[in-house]
Amino acid sequence: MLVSNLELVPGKRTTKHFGLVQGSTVRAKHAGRDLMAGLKNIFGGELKGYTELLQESRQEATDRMIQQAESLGANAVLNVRFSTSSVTQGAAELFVYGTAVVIE
Amino acid sequence: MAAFSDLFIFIILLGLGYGFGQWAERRHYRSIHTREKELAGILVFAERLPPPDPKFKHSSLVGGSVVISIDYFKRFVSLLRSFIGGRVSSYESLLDRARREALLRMKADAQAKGFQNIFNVKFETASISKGKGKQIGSIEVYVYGTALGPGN
Amino acid sequence: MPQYSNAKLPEHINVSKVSPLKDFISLTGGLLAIAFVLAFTLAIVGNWLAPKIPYEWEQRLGDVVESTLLDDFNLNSEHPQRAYLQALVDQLWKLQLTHESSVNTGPNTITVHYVESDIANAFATLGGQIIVTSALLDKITHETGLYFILAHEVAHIKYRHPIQAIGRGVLFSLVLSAFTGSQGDDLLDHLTWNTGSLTLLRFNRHQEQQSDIEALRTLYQHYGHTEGAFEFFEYLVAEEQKADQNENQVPVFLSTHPDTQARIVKLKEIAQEQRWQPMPGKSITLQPLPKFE
Repeated sequence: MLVSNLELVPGKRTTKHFGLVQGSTVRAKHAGRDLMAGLKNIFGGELKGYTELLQESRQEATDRMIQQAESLGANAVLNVRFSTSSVTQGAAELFVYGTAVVIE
Repeated sequence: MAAFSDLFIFIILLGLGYGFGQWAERRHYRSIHTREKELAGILVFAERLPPPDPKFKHSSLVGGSVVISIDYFKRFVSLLRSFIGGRVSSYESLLDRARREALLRMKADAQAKGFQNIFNVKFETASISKGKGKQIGSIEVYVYGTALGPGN
Repeated sequence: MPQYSNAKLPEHINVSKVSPLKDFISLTGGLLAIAFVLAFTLAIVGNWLAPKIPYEWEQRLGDVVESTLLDDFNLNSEHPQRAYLQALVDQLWKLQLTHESSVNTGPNTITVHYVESDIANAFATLGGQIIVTSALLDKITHETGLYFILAHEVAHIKYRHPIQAIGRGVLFSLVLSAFTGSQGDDLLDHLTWNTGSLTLLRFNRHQEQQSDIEALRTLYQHYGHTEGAFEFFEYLVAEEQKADQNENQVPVFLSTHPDTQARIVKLKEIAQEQRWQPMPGKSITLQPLPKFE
């Protein structure tokens, strides 16, 4: 599965357009990570636990989008966009969307 | 006296925040500068359409992200600033560091995958935790783009 | 084929070169100054406005205070002490009204409440009411000492200090909440609130001094001397010294009242300046307090 945020893949021809596919996941941080974050909020610096957590969540969202694309019979998702929003206190939604296509 | 011990804790937190925050920021900037030199060979562009170059045969989505927190001292300064208004300079360096760090991680990702050019780079910034009074505590920056090249 | 390259960008375009410490100092200083000036101005405005409040309004507030006092302390008007105190206060009130200064817009009569309590204290409150605790009567042995305390509280009412204090407080919290209401941050609220409150305390201490002087004057008018006036203050100093050995003392700038020792010294100076002293060679006998059943 080719995933790209370009509209056209150089050297390839798009033969079929399946339309919008999406992947999304909502994740909350857990107490242990929150404790570390509380400390980091005093000292400043990178919150590695959060970086990893969000990276995992984003991967999961991407996987879900790919699942959707596969179910349509596509072999690529183009013009992919990511979006993050904090839904409630301590939880974030990772959202990714794009166009499922067949390229040759 | 409860009021005095509160004040004492507050001053300790301010001091710790200032000391560690400044130290961490300087260290981070040093690391950013050296890695920016190392990864100067990976080119990033915000163009939507890459040039029709025959060597761009393979593509891959690459990205880098970081969650970074502001320290207690700078948060307090920004709080005071929000009362008076004006440029909140204490948050500027936080966002600058986060964007550059994320960009470097994306470049490292592309390098590991054997690419040298990244097109259509997009930034995504989100505030992760908000403290009391809706103060932004930490932010996440995610940067992504499509790496193009002969591939490995 | 166009040329593609990434050049090194100059630093400090997106990040302003401001030392956070400098930022912090100027912001904190500025905010504290604003809070101080605000509290100071509002206190003056409050002081000026409060006596213009019709006395009937204060009376209504005073009734509320009285009813809460009745609930809290289980006031009893049947004590012989109360009648004795009331007689002294009535006498004082007449005496103080003959003095120059502020036209009385206050009450016609002052009500004394006598409260059973282990803490020696007396205070004046809204609606021309004075509360005296039983411990105060136990600690004071002579009439002059009691007379001074009562004269001090009566002077508070004469100058309408209770309504002034409330006026200042209400005005300050109103303006402050209008300012910080949109921010709603605990820390900032604390900072400005505390600075403002400390500023307001200066005005409290000033009121205390004003009443002290008026009380001293009344004392001289009544007795022809000011001996024994500071009996209660001296007791307080002794108590404070005892307390000192146990824990830290509250600094003056955090207190509603002036430092007691300094207060005695200052008042003795004033008594000397104003010649509120007995005729030379005249012997003074202090009258002990009557015994109550």
